[in-house]
Amino acid sequence: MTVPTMIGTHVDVRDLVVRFGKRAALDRLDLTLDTGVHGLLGPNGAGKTTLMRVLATVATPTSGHVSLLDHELGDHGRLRQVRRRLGYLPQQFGYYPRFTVREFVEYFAWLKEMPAAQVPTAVDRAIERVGLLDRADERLKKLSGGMLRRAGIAQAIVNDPDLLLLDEPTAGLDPEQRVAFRELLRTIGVDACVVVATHLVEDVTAACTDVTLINDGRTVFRGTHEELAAAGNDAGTGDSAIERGYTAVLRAARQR
Amino acid sequence: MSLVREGAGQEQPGREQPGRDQAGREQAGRADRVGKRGSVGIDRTTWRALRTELIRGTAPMAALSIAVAGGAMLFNETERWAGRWNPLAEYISVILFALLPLAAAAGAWQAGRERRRRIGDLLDSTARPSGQPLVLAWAAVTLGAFAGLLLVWASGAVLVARVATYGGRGWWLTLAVAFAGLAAAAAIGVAAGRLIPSRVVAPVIGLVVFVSMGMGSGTNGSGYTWLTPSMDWTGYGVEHVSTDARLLQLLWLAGLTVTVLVLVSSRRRWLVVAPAAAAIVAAAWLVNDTRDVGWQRDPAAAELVCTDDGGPEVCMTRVNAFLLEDAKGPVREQLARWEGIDGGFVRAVDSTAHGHDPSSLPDGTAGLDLSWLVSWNGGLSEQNEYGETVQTSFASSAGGVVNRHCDLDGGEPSPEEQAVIWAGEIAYYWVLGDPDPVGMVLGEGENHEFQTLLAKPEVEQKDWLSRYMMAARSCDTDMFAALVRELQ
Repeated sequence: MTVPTMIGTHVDVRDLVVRFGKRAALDRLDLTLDTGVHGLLGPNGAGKTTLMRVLATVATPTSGHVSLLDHELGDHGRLRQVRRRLGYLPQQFGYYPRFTVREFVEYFAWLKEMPAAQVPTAVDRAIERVGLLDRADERLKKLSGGMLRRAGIAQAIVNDPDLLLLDEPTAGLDPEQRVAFRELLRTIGVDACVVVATHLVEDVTAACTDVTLINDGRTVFRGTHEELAAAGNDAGTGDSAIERGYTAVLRAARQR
Repeated sequence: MSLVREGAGQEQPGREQPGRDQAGREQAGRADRVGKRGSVGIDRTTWRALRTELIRGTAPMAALSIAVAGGAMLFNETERWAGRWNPLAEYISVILFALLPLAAAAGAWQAGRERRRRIGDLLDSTARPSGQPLVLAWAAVTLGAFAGLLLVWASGAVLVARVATYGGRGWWLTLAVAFAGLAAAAAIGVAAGRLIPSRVVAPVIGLVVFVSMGMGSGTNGSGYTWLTPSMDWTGYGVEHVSTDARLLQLLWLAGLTVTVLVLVSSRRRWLVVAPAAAAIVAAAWLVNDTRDVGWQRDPAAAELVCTDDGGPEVCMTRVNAFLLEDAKGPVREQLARWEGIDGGFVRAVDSTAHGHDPSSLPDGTAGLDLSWLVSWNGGLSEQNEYGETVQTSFASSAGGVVNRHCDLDGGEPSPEEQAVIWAGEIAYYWVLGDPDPVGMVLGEGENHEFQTLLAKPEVEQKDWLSRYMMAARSCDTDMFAALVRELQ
């Protein structure tokens, strides 16, 4: 008999500090995330990628508390269990050019220790969800940048993760692909926690249930994209309401 | 709040995943159960991953380079192994000096792939311990190298199988050591590729392995040579490396391979204790107990197989018996020249039967080493690249009769010994029958005496040879001196 999965808080970060030498990439950052699609915005060097690497269990916090899928990150015994339920697309997506799309996604299904019986179906499903089924047996080195990004997303979602971390996932995607991708995010976000780090505020507007704005390693805004847009009514600059909200919040944070 | 797998009818705190599909839950549940067992074993997905690495990694290049380089070397010196199983396996070991570096380089390049492709973060975020992909990569490279070497051996084996007259003894262990050597080289390469962040690590580790092979050869005669899976030379098929030595080599190489892999792939370093201990014990035994390991004679291979058709007897060892039909005619032509010479050769025997020791040959028996005349297909060549023929082999035997009973120490010869040696050389050239032997370096006096003998009527030539053979049987130095003076 199959038992349903019960998850409390998917991501619970408190007082997170990550230092590289004397520089603090994340400085007492707090963040709590549940199911849904969460946008992570911030200027270059704000700490988005560092936060994503911590959540992907790749970077080690200097101090603070990080709990993923109800497991403490410091609990090495549970780390393997957490990783089985993670999906991660790094900002710099490395790949094996001689692998085909199917082989690459299948290889990551193996790395994620998926049950063997489910792998063939899961691989096909993941490739289909990113719209690469017709290129599944093509080598990665023959794919365009956008297709490679989609192959990267396919490996991230092959294990049907409870926590999906996507760092700049829409880079290289054409407008049509981005629309399809946002739809995919919304679908996945129904029962999983999806964190999307991006510079593209329109992605946040279109696909994210809420948005977190980071500056200098700290959370400076947390709310819906409507709330972010509303924050820019008076002081912000930009071509859209959310861009004005984005710049207004950042300016306010820098003036503190 | 904690993760729960909800039990039947048990209410748990937290949020149920409303739209999560059933497959995902089953998958997560099974994955956890797999994790609790502590191992996922070798399942279908692992085999698929290995297949992918075999096809897409450096394994095909390892296989190709080893097959091409190995094949080129194997077929460059076919006379060293043609028609014989043990020499074939031993020659595979000889050419390992060039193939092990290829396996090591392929391993290093494969293991450095994550760094080159900047995929480390992505891999580190996955559940499988990083050692497992590394071991998988090693397995793929090793299987590729195995395929290459197997192809090389098989191409030789096809030719050997057609003509071989002896099944050989222990050659499969020799071959097993060669394959174990490839596995160890690939492991060393994988370790270097993992630990050293540089693109040049692959060629460098190949060079290091090559030099190590050379250093092993440089200690020729010491036990250290047994630590390398590569051999310096092949036997003649009538001897083989002892089973004990081969098993110790296998243990040493297997222990080395596992130790290296565990060190670079597992956090549980204590796992190296057993393989490292096995490797050290085997290595120490190989290095220190050389009297009990090493080459052993194979009496079955050295048994004589002789013609029985009523003509002059020609005998080959069982391992070289495939040459008998081809050798019979040319050898009997040479024996015919000795008719009318008292004490001359009346039969010819494969000298490998006596370990190339002329003193152990019966009088009247020419010892012939035809192994250098074996052609690629197991036939007998008329002449090899060094100009050797059945005739030159006979000539060596004629000149060598002086060694059967005379103790020539090989140092600066005394005047008495000088006469013995000169007489032997004149007999050598007489068998060749060439008044102006091309490529032969004859001393002035030597040539004069040889020409004097050739100028005599055939009856007198044979009379001189009869007395030469008589002198050789008793190592009569006065008689040798008289024979030489007679020609001066």
